[in-house]
Amino acid sequence: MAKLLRIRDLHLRFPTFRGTVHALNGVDLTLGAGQILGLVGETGSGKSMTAYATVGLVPPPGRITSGVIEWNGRNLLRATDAELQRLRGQEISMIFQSPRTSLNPLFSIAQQFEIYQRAHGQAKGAAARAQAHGMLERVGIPDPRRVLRSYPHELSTGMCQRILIAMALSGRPRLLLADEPTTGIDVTLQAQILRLVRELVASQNTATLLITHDLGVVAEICDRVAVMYAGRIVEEGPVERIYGDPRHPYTQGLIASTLRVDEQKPIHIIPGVVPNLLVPPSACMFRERCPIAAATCAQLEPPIVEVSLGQHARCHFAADTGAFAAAERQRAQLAGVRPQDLTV
Amino acid sequence: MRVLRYVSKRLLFLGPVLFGVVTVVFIVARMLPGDPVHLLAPRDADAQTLAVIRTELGLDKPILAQFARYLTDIGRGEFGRAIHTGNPVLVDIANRFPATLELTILGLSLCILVSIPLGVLAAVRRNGPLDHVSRLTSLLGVSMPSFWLALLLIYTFFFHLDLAPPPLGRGPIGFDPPRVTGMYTIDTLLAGDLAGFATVVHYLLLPVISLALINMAPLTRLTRASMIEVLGSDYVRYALAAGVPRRVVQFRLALKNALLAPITMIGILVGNLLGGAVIIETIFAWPGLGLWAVTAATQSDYAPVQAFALFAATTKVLVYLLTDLAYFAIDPRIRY
Repeated sequence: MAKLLRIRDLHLRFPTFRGTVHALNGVDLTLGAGQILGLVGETGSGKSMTAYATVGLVPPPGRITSGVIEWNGRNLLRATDAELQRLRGQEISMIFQSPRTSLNPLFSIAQQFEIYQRAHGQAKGAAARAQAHGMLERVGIPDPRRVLRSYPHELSTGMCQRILIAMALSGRPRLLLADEPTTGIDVTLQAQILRLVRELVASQNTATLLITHDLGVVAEICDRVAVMYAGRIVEEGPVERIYGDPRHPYTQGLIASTLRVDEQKPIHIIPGVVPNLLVPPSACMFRERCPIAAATCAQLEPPIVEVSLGQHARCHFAADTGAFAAAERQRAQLAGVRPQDLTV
Repeated sequence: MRVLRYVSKRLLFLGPVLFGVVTVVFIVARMLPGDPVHLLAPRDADAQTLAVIRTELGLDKPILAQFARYLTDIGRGEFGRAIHTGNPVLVDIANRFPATLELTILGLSLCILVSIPLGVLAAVRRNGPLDHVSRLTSLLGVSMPSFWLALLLIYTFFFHLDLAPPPLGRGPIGFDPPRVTGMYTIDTLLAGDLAGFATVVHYLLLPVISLALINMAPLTRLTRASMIEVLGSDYVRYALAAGVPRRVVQFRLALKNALLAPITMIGILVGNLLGGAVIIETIFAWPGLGLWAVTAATQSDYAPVQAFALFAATTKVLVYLLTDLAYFAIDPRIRY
């Protein structure tokens, strides 16, 4: 499959008064046309920063120190501001969480639509209004005429997210960066929004990078999933492969941590906390919390191992399928938990 | 229509507000040390003369009776006479308000014209050279007492450089353009007196600049902070991500939001200054309301103090109403 977006060894630093925050530490990511990739990880693992870096909107004082972001074979890190601005909204669009605050409170929906349309040199006047009307209809807004006249505070959260999606997709971008679009939205609405995104991107053949910390959401609409930890992708592959046979101990821990209704077992907890990115650990970032860490994990950068077709894990022991389960069993025994209660 | 209903509702509130002001000022004025009778009486007056004056002024009556009389006088439009000028209070106010108004309008306009763009640009180019310069001068301006700044300006531009006229009011002694509005700039222009206009502007220079500089620092800081906050908001981020050019985002989408806070501040400033820019008026011997009221207060001259408080409160309420109407026009979230 033709690669639309290829991020290689991306490093992002935030110089602060307390020191340099190593936000991204060598992100590798590829995304094919029309593909839906889920990007999961804890808060602060660098998911959003990866997306911002892609469209050249890293908030100051952040600085990309090395790496390549290839868009259709072109390195975006060398693109000018004007080029990036043309790219945004037309080739790559973005939607965010907190839809209500993503719309400007002082402008009507029609005015905001018009500003976005003008930015892309799309239709003007009556044609623009008709197009806006059509887009709102496509995202399932019942009375577009009324909604266009409204201001954001008069609309519900779900309505606002639909409008943002309509605006983001009106330029027919080839990539949609969705930064936790359903976080903080109630569950029934979440499902509707996700279904909407899936249908729209499928109909326009728009590739999607879905940033979330909800593994359920990923399972529902993604083709592939990438797991981020401390500014790095630690495991990446087709959703069924990763969920069925995770090889990185962090992924294994994450999947074991998800609640299941049908199993009455104590929830699995990954011990420890996310490393302080002011002083990132050497070699393997996860080793301090890893149940299978060995001496080599502190000395050598873990290699990227292709564990099965299209599934990669960044771990010295990615090939050792039983190691994680064994380690967890041992830990549980020490803690006095019965083996049959383990979720791994 | 909704706006009209709102305005009339707000104006109805003016009544109770003013009654409150009248009451408080009446009480405070009576609590001030000093006796207005001595102001009117000759220096060597005997007790009997003093008693006669006291009866004439109605000051021998119980305090409630005095208050009732004061209220009925106000109802009839009688505000009494300012002892220190000898004029009816209303005449003094009519004479002096244009001087204050002219100073306020020009001073604040200059202040706004500099502060708002400066604050916005400082926020847009945050941590740039302009930002640093504006932050440093703002800090300096905020920390410097206003009378000191005015004195420095007089010392430099009048005493040393001789670029400005002496700080002695609105024009040379005897300068009195034909009165139409009472604002000399307009009156001289209406009379076609260009030389007179130049004189007026010359005399306005230092007071206007002082007034502008004093208020510039807080307004610039507020504008900058407000703009920085808006520039970090979700909708700015979304607009940028949607490919709207940075300039449009900053100066069309963000600016409107960022101006809400400064508008409030300007409203408060106008409200305060129309009641007399006391310090500036005192330093420049500017014959405005502030100087008049301060003189009256220091001489226990009740009538002008009370009338002034009433006048200041009324203008303030009206200016705040205008501020709210500006909000009404800008922010669709506000519904009354």
